[in-house]
Amino acid sequence: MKWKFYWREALNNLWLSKLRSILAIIGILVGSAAVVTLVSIGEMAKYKALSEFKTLGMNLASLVVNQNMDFNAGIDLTRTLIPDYNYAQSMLTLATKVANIQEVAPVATLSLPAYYAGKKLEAPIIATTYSYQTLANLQIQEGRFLHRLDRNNYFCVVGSDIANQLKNNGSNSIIGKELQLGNAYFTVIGSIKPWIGNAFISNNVNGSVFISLAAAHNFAPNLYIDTTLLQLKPDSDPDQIETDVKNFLAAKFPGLEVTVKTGKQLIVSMTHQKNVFTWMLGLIGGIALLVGGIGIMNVMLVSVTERRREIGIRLAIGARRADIQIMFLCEAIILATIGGVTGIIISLFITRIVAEFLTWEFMFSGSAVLIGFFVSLFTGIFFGIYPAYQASKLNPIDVLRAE
Amino acid sequence: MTNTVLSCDKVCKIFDDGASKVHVLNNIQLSVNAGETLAIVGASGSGKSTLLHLIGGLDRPTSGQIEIMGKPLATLNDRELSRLRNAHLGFVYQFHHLLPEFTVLENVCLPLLIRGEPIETVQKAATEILEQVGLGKRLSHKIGEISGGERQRTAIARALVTRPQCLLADEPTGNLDQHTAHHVFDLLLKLNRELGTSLIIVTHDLQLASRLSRTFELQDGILV
Ligand SMILES: Nc1ncnc2c1ncn2[C@@H]1O[C@H](COP(=O)(O)OP(=O)(O)OP(=O)(O)O)[C@@H](O)[C@H]1O
Ligand SMILES: [Mg+2]
Repeated sequence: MKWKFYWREALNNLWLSKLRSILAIIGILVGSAAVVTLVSIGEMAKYKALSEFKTLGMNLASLVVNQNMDFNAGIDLTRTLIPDYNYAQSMLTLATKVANIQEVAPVATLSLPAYYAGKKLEAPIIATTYSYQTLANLQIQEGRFLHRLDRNNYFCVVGSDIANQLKNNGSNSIIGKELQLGNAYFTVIGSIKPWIGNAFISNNVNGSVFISLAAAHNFAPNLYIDTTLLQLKPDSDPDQIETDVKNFLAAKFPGLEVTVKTGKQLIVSMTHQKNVFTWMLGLIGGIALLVGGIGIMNVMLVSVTERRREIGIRLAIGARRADIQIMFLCEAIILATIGGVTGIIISLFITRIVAEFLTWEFMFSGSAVLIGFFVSLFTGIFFGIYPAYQASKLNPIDVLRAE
Repeated sequence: MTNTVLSCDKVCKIFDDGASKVHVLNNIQLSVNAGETLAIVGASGSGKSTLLHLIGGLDRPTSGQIEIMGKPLATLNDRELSRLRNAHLGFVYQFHHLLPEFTVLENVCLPLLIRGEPIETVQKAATEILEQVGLGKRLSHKIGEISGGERQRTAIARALVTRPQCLLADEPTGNLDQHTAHHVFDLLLKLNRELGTSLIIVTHDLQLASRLSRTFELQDGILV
């Protein structure tokens, strides 16, 4: 029941000095808006970076042969260590040899010129297996992707950019068209819908031509498998798989060193990075809030000086020192709450605009709001304590003696 | 229960600001019973206000003991002093000391609100007492909007709203004309009769002082 009195008095006092109150509120408002906006932006950035990756890359792993061998030193010596077609064939058995691997797609990039109707296409040629479609989550626009039964047939599938180029040069359908890759002629059997990308796969899918490894092996014997993509079973332990794969390779290709990267590891490190980013932004906002807090303290100290008489009179008619402290703290809490909440509302708009501007998905994280609110409140209380203490220390006689 | 509302025993007050010592009060001996009325007169600077502040527990004596309602003030902590001041004593200060931003009614409500009483009963009590001092029609005026005499009466109402056992008034008629001053005194004496409140009133006006049951003079720190 006495709380009602404190709050009423505090509100009343704040209302009596509107300008001062508004200034204090603005200080907190700017700080809280900064904290919430920056944390939200950090969260949105994190979400943006992780979302597509999570759907596509969560159960992916990639395996790269370390290039610490000197290929020119002597062909015989290093022959077995070059990740060539044989290596690719061994990799394909991984799905059956190592538990929890579902699909395997060795990927080799051929740097051969590609021509269509006599015109050169700027298109890297990617030699891989049919599994690549699942791994990279490719959607088919027309026709089909490579198939297991294609074997070494000279079939190719093109990315959306290449498909467009082929269309520009002729009719609507591109199925059955002939591309010249190096010295060989390949028949287009399908095209891929525009691909949004995947942090895990570095190939430029939209601008590439896909052929099967077996076909590539036929006309370009010096294949170099730069990456092998692996699809892991959901909820499998990537670290275990990494060990198993390395053991398998060590037995088959002694001396071969590989680096395995798994999606989970990447997500962990990305999340970590982004969290650091978010915290940094939050910290910057926190500094703004600190300034706001000092503003509250300043405004309240002025208020204590201006209200010496009132405080003295309150003490003289029987208010306890604690009453005075609580009253001033209540004022600080009210200022901080109003500032904090308005700041949050304003940051809602700012975040919306920023999201709109960056074409990010708009997200207002609850944790940002909670952090913003409680940090504002804490700031208010923290910086209100000293003025409240100052106020309660006043000696009523000093005030009463003065006219 | 003792009939003594207030007693001072060998109370001394020395202001010591390092360089010089000011002996303001010297062995004050005083006892006030319930319902008694007391005038304290004395030259300016003789220590009248100081004595009232000591009695009100706003300041502590250099030596000696003050008891209010049988409780020695020296044994009370800040919090208990505040409660005692709020519960048993009413103060009318030399410069009335009302809160100018608040209305007449709000000023009078304050001592009861500080106790934590619900606002409805507080407003009822405050309105009642303000009617008694003749300010029933000025409740919602700001302090700045009323006359000096009305302020003085508001201050009296604020002091009495808690129904104190003892009212301490420091020149309550200080800046009032003769006529109004007598009117305020009428009021105080009426409340003394009706509520049994002891009055300790500091005044320069010997004529007003003579209307009270006892008169003391402060001279060189001694009550005579
Ligand atoms: N804090 C202090 N430090 C030093 N001297 C003080 C202090 N407070 C009061 N005094 C001195 O004590 C003396 C008594 O002051 P007090 O206010 O009690 O006088 P008073 O009798 O009420 O006078 P008046 O009639 O003018 O109100 C004065 O000489 C004053 O200067
Ligand atoms: Mg005085």
